[in-house]
Amino acid sequence: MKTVKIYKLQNDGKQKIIATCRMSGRTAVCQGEENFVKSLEESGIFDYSESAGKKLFPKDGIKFLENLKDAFKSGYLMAADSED
Amino acid sequence: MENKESQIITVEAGQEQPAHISEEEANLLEKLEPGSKFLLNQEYKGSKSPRNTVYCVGIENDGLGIFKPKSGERAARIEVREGTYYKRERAAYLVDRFLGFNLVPPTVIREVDGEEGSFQQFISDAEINEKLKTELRTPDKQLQEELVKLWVYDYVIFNSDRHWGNLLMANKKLHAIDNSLTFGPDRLRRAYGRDENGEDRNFFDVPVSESVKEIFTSYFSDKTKRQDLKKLLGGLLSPSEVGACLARIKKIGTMILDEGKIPKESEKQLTFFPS
Repeated sequence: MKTVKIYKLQNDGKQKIIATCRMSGRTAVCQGEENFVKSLEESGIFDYSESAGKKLFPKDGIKFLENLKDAFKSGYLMAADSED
Repeated sequence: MENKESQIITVEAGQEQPAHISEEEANLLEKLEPGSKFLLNQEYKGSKSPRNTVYCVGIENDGLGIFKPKSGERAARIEVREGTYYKRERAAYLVDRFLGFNLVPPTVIREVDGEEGSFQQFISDAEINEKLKTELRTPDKQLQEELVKLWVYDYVIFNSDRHWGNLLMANKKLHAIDNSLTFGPDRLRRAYGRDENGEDRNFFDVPVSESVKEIFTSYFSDKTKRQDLKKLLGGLLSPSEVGACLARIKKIGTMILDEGKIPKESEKQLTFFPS
């Protein structure tokens, strides 16, 4: 099952996982720091495969998971996927 | 970290001439901590579709830096090709610095262990999301001014990727990070959270502060600064991208100085290459 973990870079240069998103049926489900997960659910992320400015939310399932890596690539927040 | 923006020194900086480089930038160029580089996407090296390799690197006696090598870039947009992101990070910083927005952490192009890429000062103790999102919902006067400034800046660099994940806040000051998907003929995308009505925030018809007006007054009155910026951007972006950026500065700066705001009815004039 496809899983995406989102890491936050701390002052000491170490990373910690702040959220984990995985598929549940046709939608994605995210768990982790409450406010961060809430932001994913309410504000969503850009759809990097489209140029029309569309946003993606957990309800968009696999497409949402696949775009997390493009949304969180700053170093401060990094999304990483894997197959469980 | 002490703000050393006012202490400008001039040093050689590879292909970029003239290079007015601050002490902070010079540290980024010269003072790496030996053996302190590590991959931030270490855990998923085996991923079938990795994105944009990012390293954290120690700076001698001066915190950390974020290093994004050219070789680790992966295309996210057809309008902004991979292999150019690191130059766009630097170009975004130069625009910020030459105009005086003061939003982007010092960013240079440098080689680390044989790889060329962008290297940006790490902002410690920054709110990435949790507190920031709450503050963005009901910003006070200081934060509102910062947001308006960022909104104007993101138009100037034609950012197609500003969202709550690449915005930091420390002591009410905003820091604009992850500026790689910029300057290209893409769609302008700016999302700074939602307002109290749940709508994506924008700043049309909001009076801009004197400090934002001063950014453009100062820039328009300094021919040398304009020429230096054009020359430096020319080493990083295509001629059409440089021309478009300078046209956007002129367009939005003139609008701000003439009207003291960005009128809602002018939205369609704020294009990639405005007339």
